[in-house]
Amino acid sequence: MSTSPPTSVSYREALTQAMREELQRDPNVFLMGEDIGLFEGSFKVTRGLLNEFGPTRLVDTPISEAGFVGLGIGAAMSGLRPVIELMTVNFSIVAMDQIVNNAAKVRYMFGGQVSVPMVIRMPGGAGHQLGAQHSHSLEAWFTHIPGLKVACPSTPFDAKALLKTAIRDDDPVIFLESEGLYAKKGPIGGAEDLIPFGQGIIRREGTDCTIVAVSRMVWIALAAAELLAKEGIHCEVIDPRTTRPLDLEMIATSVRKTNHCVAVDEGWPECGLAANIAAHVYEQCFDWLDAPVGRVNAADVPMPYAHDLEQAALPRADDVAQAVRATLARRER
Amino acid sequence: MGYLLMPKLSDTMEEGTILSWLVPDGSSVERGQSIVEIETDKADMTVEAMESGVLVVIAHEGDVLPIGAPIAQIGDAEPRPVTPASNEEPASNIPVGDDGTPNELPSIPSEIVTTGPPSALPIADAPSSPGPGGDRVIASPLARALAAEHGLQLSGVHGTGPGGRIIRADVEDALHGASSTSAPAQSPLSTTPASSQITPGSRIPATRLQRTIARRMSMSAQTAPHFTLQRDVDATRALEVRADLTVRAPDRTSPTLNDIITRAVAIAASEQPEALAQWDDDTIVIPDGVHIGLAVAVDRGLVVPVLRHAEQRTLIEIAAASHALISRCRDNSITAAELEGSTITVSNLGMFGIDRFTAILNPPEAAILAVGAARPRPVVHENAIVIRTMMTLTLSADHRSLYGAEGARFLGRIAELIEAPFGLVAAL
Repeated sequence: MSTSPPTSVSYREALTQAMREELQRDPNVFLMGEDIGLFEGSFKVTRGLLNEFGPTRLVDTPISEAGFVGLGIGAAMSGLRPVIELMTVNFSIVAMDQIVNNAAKVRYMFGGQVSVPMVIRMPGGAGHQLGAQHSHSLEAWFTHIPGLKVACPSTPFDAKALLKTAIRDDDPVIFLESEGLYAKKGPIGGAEDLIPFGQGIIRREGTDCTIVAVSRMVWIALAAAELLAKEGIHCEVIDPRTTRPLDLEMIATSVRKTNHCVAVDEGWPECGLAANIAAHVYEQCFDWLDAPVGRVNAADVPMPYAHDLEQAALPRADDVAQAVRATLARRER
Repeated sequence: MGYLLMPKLSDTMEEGTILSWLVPDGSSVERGQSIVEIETDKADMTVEAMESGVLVVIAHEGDVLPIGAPIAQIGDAEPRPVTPASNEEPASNIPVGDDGTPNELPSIPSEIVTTGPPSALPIADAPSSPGPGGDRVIASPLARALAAEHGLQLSGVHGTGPGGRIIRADVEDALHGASSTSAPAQSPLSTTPASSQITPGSRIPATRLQRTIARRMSMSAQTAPHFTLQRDVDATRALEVRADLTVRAPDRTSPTLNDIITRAVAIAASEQPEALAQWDDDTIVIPDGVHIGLAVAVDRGLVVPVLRHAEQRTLIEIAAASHALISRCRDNSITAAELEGSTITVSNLGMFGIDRFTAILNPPEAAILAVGAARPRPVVHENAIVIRTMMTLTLSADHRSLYGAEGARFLGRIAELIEAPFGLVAAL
């Protein structure tokens, strides 16, 4: 097996590699989920792994999210390191009691005697005409819960490195993938290239406005920054990579430099990730702000099915650019 | 709260002109209501509100703005403080004296001043719009921090952000206007508007110089606690010395009485450097020299050229230097650098027949000397009532860094030097 990683692989394949390497490295790691073995996953993220590791390490489950998430919690408490795939984030809702009331609480309620070293992977996001019930972005829901860690990778490199960090972490990690990014290609790291949680990255440097964006919105923000650069507006794009813990220091440092901030996430505006980032920025950077923090979110409606409406409801590069222009706006003297 | 941006109303449109607002600034609008007419390169179009709320107009009728520029905000129902210019209604209800100040303050509902739990306050009686003169300055936190750092009063700064908010750029503009260092090639005095006609009843936009003076004088009056000391000084012998020098050195610039006073201030201040101590945010700063500002009236304003290190100059040198500085102020050739860094100012209104006056400190200076007219007055001199040429000196000082006894000693020494003026010319 080659030891030097390929220079350009898909986000999907980066995730597969992370799991393959961790399955090889640690016999306690196993995968569990609907259609992940024989069918190789609804998004083919577990392609080839059943043949390689067999049915004791790759467990196909019935359609019973609450049941197998609970099973994973018990396995994790007993010393295994389950990596659970929920077909999409939309199905996490039926397992929410297990996630919030058990996974996130066990270490605390048992006084630290046991922990839940479990990862729950799930793709989310809209844009594929899957209707209001199957188009959620629930980053904010999970980020709300103390006891969980939440990773939202935006690149193949981060997808692999963050998943490996998640699997080795002793606490439950909600690992939110983006359906829209599975085919995205890019460089990836090696078997020991890990990214610590709570460490963001500056995707583009700029001086005029800080754009904080997570997951697929990072790419929307970068496209907006490109548009704005042509107008002489230089944006700094920050990808926090994990929303809990959040790299507030990086965000605050940037905002103190640019004095303007726009936060972007694909979820709804009320009590959302962008709202949370805005609140932190107000607390940390009040005297450095030259304008209110802008927010760009999905429209505050159930996601429409019709293609045009769905596209209109999602944050686009133009929306982000407009929000930046609005924070920088000056009228004639 | 959302921004209404200049929409792209045709494929080729790049900018639009605000033709008219169909609803007044500050009124409530319903989502879908037509609120503004915009002229594009093709046609005039009507634009609807994208949400319900209170309209805050950003772009005014006739403004030409690119696509995407904010033209209005549609906000929550709470009325935002409006800019003073548009706050005409409440202002007209107040009786105003001849000097433009209100004769009496409007009565305040007693509920507002009573203390107690917030629930005891009837919300309906709370002031929902700013009272006259009580307009809150709308400024970004950064603009406030910057202004505080530079001792700038925001009330005089023109806001160009959304809703008229004062933003960083406005503070920077105001600060640059103050120091004039950003445009050294241009004379700092060349700010008089093309039309200098003063017509009764007119409102004249202030020049940059006038705005700077207004801002700095307000700051000084509001932040530096002034105290004043007065002393009548016998200038008879000083004037004799002056006449003598004019005869003895006809080829040199003959010193004026003001030059003699300047020289006396220079000597007194070099002997007592703490008299010029400046207050700077809990630190007392002793200046590096006696840099004397000379207040010079120019067309519709005032400038203060600086005679640097006056303590190192002879009287004749002071006379030549101040003559040159004042000439350059009058013909507009003074540079910004020559208007900075004074540590005490001498202001003389004697030529206008003023006997005495008190001057406002010129920040960051801690002292300013106001000189009245020198004229014959009956005084007691050597136990007899005689006619001597007298003048009154008034020292204004910053009580944060200078105290009464020190100030009195300083003014006393200045008087002594003027009254026994040979010391002033010793190093001729």
